[in-house]
Amino acid sequence: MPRRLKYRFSALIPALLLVSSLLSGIIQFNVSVSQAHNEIRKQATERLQLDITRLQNILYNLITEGGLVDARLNLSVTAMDPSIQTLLLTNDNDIVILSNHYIWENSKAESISNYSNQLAHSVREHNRASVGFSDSNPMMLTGTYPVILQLENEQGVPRKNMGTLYAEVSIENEFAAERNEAISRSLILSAIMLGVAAIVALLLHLLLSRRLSHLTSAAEELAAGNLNVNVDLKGNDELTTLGDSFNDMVERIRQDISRRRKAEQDLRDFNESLEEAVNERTEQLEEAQQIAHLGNWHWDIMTSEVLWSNEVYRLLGYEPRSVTASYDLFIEHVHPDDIAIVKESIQKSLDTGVLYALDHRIRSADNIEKWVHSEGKAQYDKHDQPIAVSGTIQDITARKQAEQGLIAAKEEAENANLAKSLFLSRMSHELRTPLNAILGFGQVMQFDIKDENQKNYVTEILKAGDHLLSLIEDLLDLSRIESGRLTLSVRPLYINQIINESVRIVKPSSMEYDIQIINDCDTQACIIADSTRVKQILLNLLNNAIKYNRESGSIYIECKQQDTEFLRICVTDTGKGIDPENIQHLFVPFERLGVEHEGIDGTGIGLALCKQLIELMAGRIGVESIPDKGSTFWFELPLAPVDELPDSLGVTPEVAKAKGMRVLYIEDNLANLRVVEAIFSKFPELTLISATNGTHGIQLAQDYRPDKILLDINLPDINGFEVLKQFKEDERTRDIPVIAISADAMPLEIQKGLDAGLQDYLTKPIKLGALIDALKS
Amino acid sequence: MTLNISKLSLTGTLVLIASLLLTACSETPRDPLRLASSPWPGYEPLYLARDLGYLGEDRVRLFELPSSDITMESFRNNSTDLATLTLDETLELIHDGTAMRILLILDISNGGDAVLAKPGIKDVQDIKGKRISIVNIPLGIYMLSRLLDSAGLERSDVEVFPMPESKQLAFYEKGKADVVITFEPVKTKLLEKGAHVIFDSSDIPNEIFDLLVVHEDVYQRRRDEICHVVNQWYRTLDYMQQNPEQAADAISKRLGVTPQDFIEMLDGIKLPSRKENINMLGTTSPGILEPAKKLNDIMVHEKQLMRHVDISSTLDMSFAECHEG
Repeated sequence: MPRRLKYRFSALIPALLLVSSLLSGIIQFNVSVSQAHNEIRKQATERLQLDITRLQNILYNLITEGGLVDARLNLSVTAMDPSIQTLLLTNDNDIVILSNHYIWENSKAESISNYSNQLAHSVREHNRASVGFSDSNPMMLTGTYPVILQLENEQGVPRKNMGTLYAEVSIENEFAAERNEAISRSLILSAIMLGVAAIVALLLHLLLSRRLSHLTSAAEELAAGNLNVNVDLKGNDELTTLGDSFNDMVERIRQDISRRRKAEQDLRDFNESLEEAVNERTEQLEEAQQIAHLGNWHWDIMTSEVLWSNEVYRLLGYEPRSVTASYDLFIEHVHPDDIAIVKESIQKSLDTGVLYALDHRIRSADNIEKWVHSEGKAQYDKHDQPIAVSGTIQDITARKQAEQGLIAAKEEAENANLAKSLFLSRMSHELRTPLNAILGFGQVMQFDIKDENQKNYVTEILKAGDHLLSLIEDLLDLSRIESGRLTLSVRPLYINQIINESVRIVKPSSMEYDIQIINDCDTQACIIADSTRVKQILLNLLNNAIKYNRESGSIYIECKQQDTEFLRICVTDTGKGIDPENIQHLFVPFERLGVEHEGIDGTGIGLALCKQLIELMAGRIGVESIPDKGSTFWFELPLAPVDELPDSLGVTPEVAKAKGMRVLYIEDNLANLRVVEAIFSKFPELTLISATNGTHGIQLAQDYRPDKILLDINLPDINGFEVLKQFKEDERTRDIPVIAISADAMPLEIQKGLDAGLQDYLTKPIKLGALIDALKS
Repeated sequence: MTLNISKLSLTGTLVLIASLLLTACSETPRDPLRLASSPWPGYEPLYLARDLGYLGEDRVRLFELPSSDITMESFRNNSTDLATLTLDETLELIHDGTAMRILLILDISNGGDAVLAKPGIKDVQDIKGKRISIVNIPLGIYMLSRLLDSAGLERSDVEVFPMPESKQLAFYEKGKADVVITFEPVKTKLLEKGAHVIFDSSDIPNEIFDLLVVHEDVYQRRRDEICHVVNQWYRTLDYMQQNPEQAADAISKRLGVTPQDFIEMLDGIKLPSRKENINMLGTTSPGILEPAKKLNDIMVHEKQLMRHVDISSTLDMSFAECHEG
């Protein structure tokens, strides 16, 4: 910067002088060239006028005397001027008589140069010369002059006529010479101005620039920090004053600076103490983070810059600040299986602005797998563009491991339980198949055996078999419930109907123990439940009431509408009651409260099953007992809304006689088939046709058109429902009632079958009575 | 500060250089070289050179003068820079103090100069008492002298009428002369009028030289242009050699004769080549010096010159083989 000023004085001003001198040189040049041009034109015109006029006279005299030779001499001599380009003497027909080029003689003048016949004619006519510069070439002067000629004709007689003297003069060379002279003059002028410029530059240098330079270098030194600088300029002008002012200024700056330095020192001290405080706090935070294994981080999306607290480094297995923190480095350490979810969480947080929090695994640099809890939240600018994400990351490996232990234990237990249920389910199914044969043939034997003793044995066998069967059924139900495989077919139903049916079923048994059943339930209330299960619960409670009653006791059944939602059914016995401390164990599976030693048979799962079923149907079960007086077992089930009442009251239709009936039984299990064959042999009016697979069965049905069809659902080739469908689709078999028989009595399936057109559904093992009933209906 | 001064002077220098360059670019177009000449077959290649564009009107301007006496006068009075002169004219001019240089031997007359006589005059012996027209240049006197020598007559034996060659034809036609000592193209024109040659330069070979001369000051100042003229001379001779018919057509027109006439005229002159020129004008003993001395003697004898003239200092060899700048 300081140099510029020097240039301005020492170079710029002379440069301006120089430029102006060049400009004036150019102007001078132009003016003199223009003047010279005019002068030359004037002179050339005058000279031509003079030359031609002289030639005119000479030619007049010579040609009058007939001396063409002398005329040519004169014309040639006149033409000895390089500026004369063309010199012609023409006759009145514009034919060249004489010329400075001999070769042109006797040719037409117009073809040679700018000679104009018209102009020549005019000149001859008016006897007046025409001189002027050519329009096309300002450097060309042309002159046309009249000449009196006295030429001899062919007969040698002189004839006077008017001729023309024509000249073309170029002033180009003269002008060029003049212009060059003008250039020289301008150059000399410019050179002088250059000298002046140099002198001015030198003077400026001595007077101004050198002293300015002193000032400048002093200022530079000052700028560089030298406060002891002093300017001493000689002379007595503005610059000297400026120098003095500069010295004053330096002194003031010196004072200023020392004041400012003190202030700066104070500020530095303050900053240091602040810094210490910050450091202290940072250390505390650091310590806290270390204890909590909690690190925090900040990710600037704009710059991709990522900041980690020291604990984040340690979590990832690095020495703090030993690597460059980055989003990618973090992701690198996330467990491969968790990368997707981590990225997704962060992205979701970026998209929605919601705080994200998740547990995931990381693999630290020292190859240790850790569980961490990550939380983060995005920050946005005013255009809702995410600019940063910050959050925390905490090592939760210990907690996670504990949780994992618990979960594992729970899962183990659940698995064990599931295995148990599965085992029970399998076992009961396997148990049922042989029982099928025992009970089936037992029933058949009852018909055949006449000996009373033997008949009693068979009866005992059948009783024990029935008990075993019910035990298995209960076990199966319980295991289904526990494994979550039990499905209910819940719909509105009239409870009194079910109670009546159940009472009828247990009646024989109660009479055996001389126990009176009083059914005091005459409600027309409708509940929502699975009818089969409700019946199962009622039978269970009634059987218990019979089993645990006193001799000649009674059972009292009543229904109470608790409120608008539930109906309570109570079964009260007159047994010895239950100890209050035992009541809580009542509904626990296999808990028999010590009665196993009292000769009452039971499995200990009945009540447990009831409780489970009731709860499945959104009901409750409970017991109130007064020792030595009796117990009241109750259960509540939800009432059906009034508009969901069933149409039919479900009254069992009159049983028709099954006479001369042909029955087709489709069954792959030979044991079952034989049982049914044995049963049918007792009824001569019944004819049994059998098939061991679905295809054969369909064929037989179409051929023989039986009156009834018994259909096993689990067939080897076609599923029983599919067989049923084909019966219903075929015109020949459509109207034949079909009764399904299956071991897998799933309520949903039963319903499905009934909906598809089944007349009835029987479960294995086949109860003779039920079968007969079904056949008769 | 020294930096500023040097910077300033640098700027100044640059401006000066720029100005000088500007001047150089627009160098004064000089006036063309002026070259005066008159009709004579040996000079005609110059006009041909001009008409072919070899010379360039802006570099050399030819003045076409009607007769050789005017040419000599115009050279003498500086009306022209270069001129075509006979050796005798040259000797006279040098004798009279005109500073000049001989650039070229344009031709050597070998019949081009002739003595023609009207019918009835059989040979040189018959010229006694006759009226003789001679060209009013030293050559005329020289030829007369050689004629008289060969006839063995004295100057007083004949009546002499000197005049420019341009007037000789009319003079003869009017019957004012019995004998005409002249040269081409007047010679051919006289032959057409019935005259016949009784003596010519082939009888005195290597005596009549036609030269291209230049004023000393021009010689010093305008060497490039002179070189140009010399080179174009030889170039034109080459052209004539290669295109004799076109050349004859062009030249004959200017001389006012037929092309065939011109071709015959060429027999009467010898056009020296560049090499022959070098031999005549250069080397340690230039070939022209001997004929020049002989001519000089005659001219002194005839009282045309007062003393001998040494032309060796005027002989120039630098343009025999030059390169234009």
